[in-house]
Amino acid sequence: MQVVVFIAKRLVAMVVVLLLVSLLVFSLLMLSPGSILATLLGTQPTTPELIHSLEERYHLNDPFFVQYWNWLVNALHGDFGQSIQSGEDVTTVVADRLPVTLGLAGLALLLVLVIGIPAGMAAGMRRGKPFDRLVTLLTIVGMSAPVFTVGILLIYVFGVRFEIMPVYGAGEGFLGRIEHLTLPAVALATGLTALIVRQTRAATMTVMDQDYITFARARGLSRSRILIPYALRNTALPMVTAAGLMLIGAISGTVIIETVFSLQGVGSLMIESVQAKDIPVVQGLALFIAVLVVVVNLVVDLLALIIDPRIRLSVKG
Amino acid sequence: MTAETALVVAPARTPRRPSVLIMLAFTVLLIVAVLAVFGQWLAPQDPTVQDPLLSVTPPGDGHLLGTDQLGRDVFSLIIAAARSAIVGPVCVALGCVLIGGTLGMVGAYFGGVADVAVNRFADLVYALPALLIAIVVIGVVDGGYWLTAAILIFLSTPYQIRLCRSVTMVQVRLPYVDAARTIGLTSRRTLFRHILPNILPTVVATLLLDFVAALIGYSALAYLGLGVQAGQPDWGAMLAEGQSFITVNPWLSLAPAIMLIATASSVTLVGDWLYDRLSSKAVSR
Amino acid sequence: MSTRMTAGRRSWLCGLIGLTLLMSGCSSGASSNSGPGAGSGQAAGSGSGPAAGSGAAGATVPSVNIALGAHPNSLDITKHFDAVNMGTMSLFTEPLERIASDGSTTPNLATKVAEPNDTTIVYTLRDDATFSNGDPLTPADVVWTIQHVTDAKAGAQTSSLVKSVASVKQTGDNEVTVTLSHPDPTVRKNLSLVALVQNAKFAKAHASDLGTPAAVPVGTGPYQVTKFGTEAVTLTRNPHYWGDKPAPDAVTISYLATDNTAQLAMRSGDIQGALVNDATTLAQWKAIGGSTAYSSQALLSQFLSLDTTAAPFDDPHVRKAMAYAIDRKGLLQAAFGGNASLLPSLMPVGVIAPVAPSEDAANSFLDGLPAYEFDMDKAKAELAESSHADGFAVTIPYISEQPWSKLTVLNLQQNLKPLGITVTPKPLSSQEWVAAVFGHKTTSVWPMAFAAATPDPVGLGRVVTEAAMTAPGGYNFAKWAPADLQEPAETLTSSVDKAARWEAAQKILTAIATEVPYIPLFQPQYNLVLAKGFTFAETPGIMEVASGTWMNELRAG
Repeated sequence: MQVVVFIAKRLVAMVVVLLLVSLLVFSLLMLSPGSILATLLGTQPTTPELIHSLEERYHLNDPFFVQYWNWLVNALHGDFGQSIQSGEDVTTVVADRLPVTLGLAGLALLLVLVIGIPAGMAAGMRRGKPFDRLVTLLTIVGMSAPVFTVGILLIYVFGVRFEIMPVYGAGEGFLGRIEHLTLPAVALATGLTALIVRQTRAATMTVMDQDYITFARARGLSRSRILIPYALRNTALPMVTAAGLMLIGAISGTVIIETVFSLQGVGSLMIESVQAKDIPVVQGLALFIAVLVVVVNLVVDLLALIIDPRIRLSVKG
Repeated sequence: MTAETALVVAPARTPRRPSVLIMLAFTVLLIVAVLAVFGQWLAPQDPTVQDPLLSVTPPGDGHLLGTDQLGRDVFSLIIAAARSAIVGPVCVALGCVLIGGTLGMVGAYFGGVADVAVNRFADLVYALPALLIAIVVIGVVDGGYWLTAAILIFLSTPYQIRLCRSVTMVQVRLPYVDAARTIGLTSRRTLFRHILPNILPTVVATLLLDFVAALIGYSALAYLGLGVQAGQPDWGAMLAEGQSFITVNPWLSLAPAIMLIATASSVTLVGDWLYDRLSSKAVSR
Repeated sequence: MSTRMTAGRRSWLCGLIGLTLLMSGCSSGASSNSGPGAGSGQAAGSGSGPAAGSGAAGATVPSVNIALGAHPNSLDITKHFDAVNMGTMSLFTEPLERIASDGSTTPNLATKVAEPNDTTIVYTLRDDATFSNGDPLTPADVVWTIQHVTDAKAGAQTSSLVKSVASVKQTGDNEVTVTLSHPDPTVRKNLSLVALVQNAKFAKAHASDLGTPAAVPVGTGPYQVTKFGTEAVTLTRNPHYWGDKPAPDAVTISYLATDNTAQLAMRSGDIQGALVNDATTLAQWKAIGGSTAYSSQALLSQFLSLDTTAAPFDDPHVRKAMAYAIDRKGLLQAAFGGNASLLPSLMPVGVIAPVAPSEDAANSFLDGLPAYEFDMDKAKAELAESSHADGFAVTIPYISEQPWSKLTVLNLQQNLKPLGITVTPKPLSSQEWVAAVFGHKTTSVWPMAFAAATPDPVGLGRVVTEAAMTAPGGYNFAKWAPADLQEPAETLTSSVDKAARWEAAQKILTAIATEVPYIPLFQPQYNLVLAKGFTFAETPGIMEVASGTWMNELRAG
């Protein structure tokens, strides 16, 4: 029952957040210099009739809240309008760009998990040893380096200096896609991996200090056989709670990485649309990202609840 | 004071002696700081002098790192850019700590409506990708350097609030705070004379983390062409310009990339080290 | 809205040409086309195919993929009018006449064009043209098309170019007559550019979404669109095409985010041709094994406009000081890698030559104009003579997506500093820039770029008139209208006398060069690169791309 109330409360909060986000973005774009009209007119000489007809068609003279309300009602029906730039449905535009971004995100996630967790555990088990010190140093650099600097270094080393990896574009076909997305995914994964390594390392060190490990080691059991299950279980909670934070980092990172590697994904779409004042697309994307963040946060909270029931005590917040 | 602070639970960490690495990090920071203050006198050439006929050349011929699109000396530009790279983030970090720290401490100590309001605000900002918001806002209102600082403070303060709130919470529950109240100390005195010293390690460490975050934020925005005036030497903006000339003069983009990574990593390293030192000091006080 | 989103390059934001303000043809005036005497009512040959020397010489190839500018918003020209994307549109919807870069026209869907008087154009249509859906070409289709591109009420972006069209009627089995509200020396050329004939039945059935991927216009061209995606348009042969077939069986026009992407794609053999966005990368393109670069002068002027009504630029000495303080030769290297030329006057020679006795005459006139070579001593002297001898502070905008404008402003900032002039660069998005230009809000020093829609200096008449300061579609950016130029301006837009128009053009250009309301800067090139195995029989200029003849010039092997 407690859980149901919790979820209900969170759902209400979710809707409020989404409304706030959409209203915020809508008003920002309305206030910004340079008008939608300029986008619609293109670079052509204009006439009063032309301006009038465009204003009519896009309801540019309606009061602010009427425009917002119209958009909202349509959005609730799954109609996010048409892109001012290309005339296509916003959902189509976003769906067209989504595969590249998903591929990038998936590959980066894979790298984070495959490299981050083992590296963190290995470092935690060898606390203070050269390997641990190296990993710690690398995580600090990885966490601190701006994602685009990592990208540019990768482009230089693999694309320019040694010319062994493609550094621009998204590639064709499955293998081509993976080949093209590897460097961007590495750049995107660097910071996130550092975060995961830190979490895993700390959790492993905590486990290492437990009596049962000392006991097991005294009995001559292989360390890793005992450690790995415990350490994994111990890491689960902090990792799940960090997922929300990681997602937000990943979204910002994707926007920049897609720009660095000129990938035609959702992130670069966001920048292009903000630039062109393509309100329907920016709105749709902002809402899309907000929903993603809010839903992931909700799932994270629920997972945390399942993993560690003690958290329920503090659920009321 | 000793009677009160002795009750603090010590963080289970072993203090580290400054290693070679820490010394290296301090050296990097010292160099960057010197460049930020005295850069204009140290640059081998005037970074503003243009020679467009010498547009984008590789290193050599009096230009240690080659030239940029307007034929300016890249090495001198890198030095000149140190100031704008440091000043903004320092202001953001200080602003965050002052505002966020105060709000967090006050919220945790007094509780009530203010605490709830601050918390809800933090919740909202938590749900937003800060950089994306900054891109939209700064892009839309055409923000300059200082507006960027304000927006970065606004977007990272909630993290500071949360952190200070939670560490203060821990302190508030400890007996020494009750003791202080019992003997009739004012809230202000309790907060700033007794609680603050105990949470200082966290505050200092996050000050440095805030600096790194602001450095990353500033440079990312500059990379996208936001928040920095054209022609102003800036690492992020140079990197963006250099990317299209990476085959002609790679140093135009590599040099600022290296400077950014070195500065940010050094600050993080020093922050880590300082946290360990200060927390052990707080314990032994 | 917004932003400079990245100063330096970001050609992913937009290609150079797409941002250009296509300058409209004139509005009022009286004349038949292409000069006096020679003949209103000229019959323009009887067509046996497109331009001479075109047609499919050589072998056919299965397909070519060419990277061309930025993704079009629409494949209906009234919703997306720019010359580069017309290179795609004119492959499946053809013009009545094809226009070339020298301003000449050749018959296409019209076998004969007659101008019996100053306000009538009679098109005789070919009887063997068939739409890709099998419908024969009828006068009704041509009538609908011309109404479509002139329909200002429906928001046709092309409408201001052909404002003088009063009515269009079918006047015979194969004849369409256009009646003008007043004589207009450029309307026939403009119609040949923008009236890409569509199947009227299809267009009417898809009135609301014409031009979107769901309803790509149906035309009579050598190709038909089989896919209009976000990253490419794919065209295959129109089985019913009436003319000589171009070499490729299929054409893909791709829109690649950056020059880097496109270069890589050409190296790996994914694309066989590309329009180069950023001229500084041309050397890298040429370095691709077996590639050939085809460069032609664009009919494009890049210049600074100075507001002559407000201090300090109301003082001619200040304006001249500005002109002397720009290192144009250096900037040509920095902004274009040397792959462009200095603009000798407000209009490039290719635009004024059609009214000059010869191109040589035009060139020698331009050579005689006062030039403002980079010279800081002269700049200092001019400023000392002005009423702002101690300098001043000014904010100069630049267009974020056009590096030349940013570099020019930064160069001015640096060079003017010792003179006590403080320049603050301010970025503008192309949208903000366009809004200001059309809103007549071009202040202080304004970076300008405009192209002549067709090769004719008619636009020159509009930058110096009183009316153009406020009228919609007026281009008097400098708010500079000397009384003695009003008559030449009128002559240029309305005279039938080629010699008189040449006289007028010289007078206006001389006055501009002396008084410096505008500082001419650069004339970019139009650079097309073909990969190994492909060549162009003739270097195509922007007009050859816009009118579709470029594909006929493509050779394999």
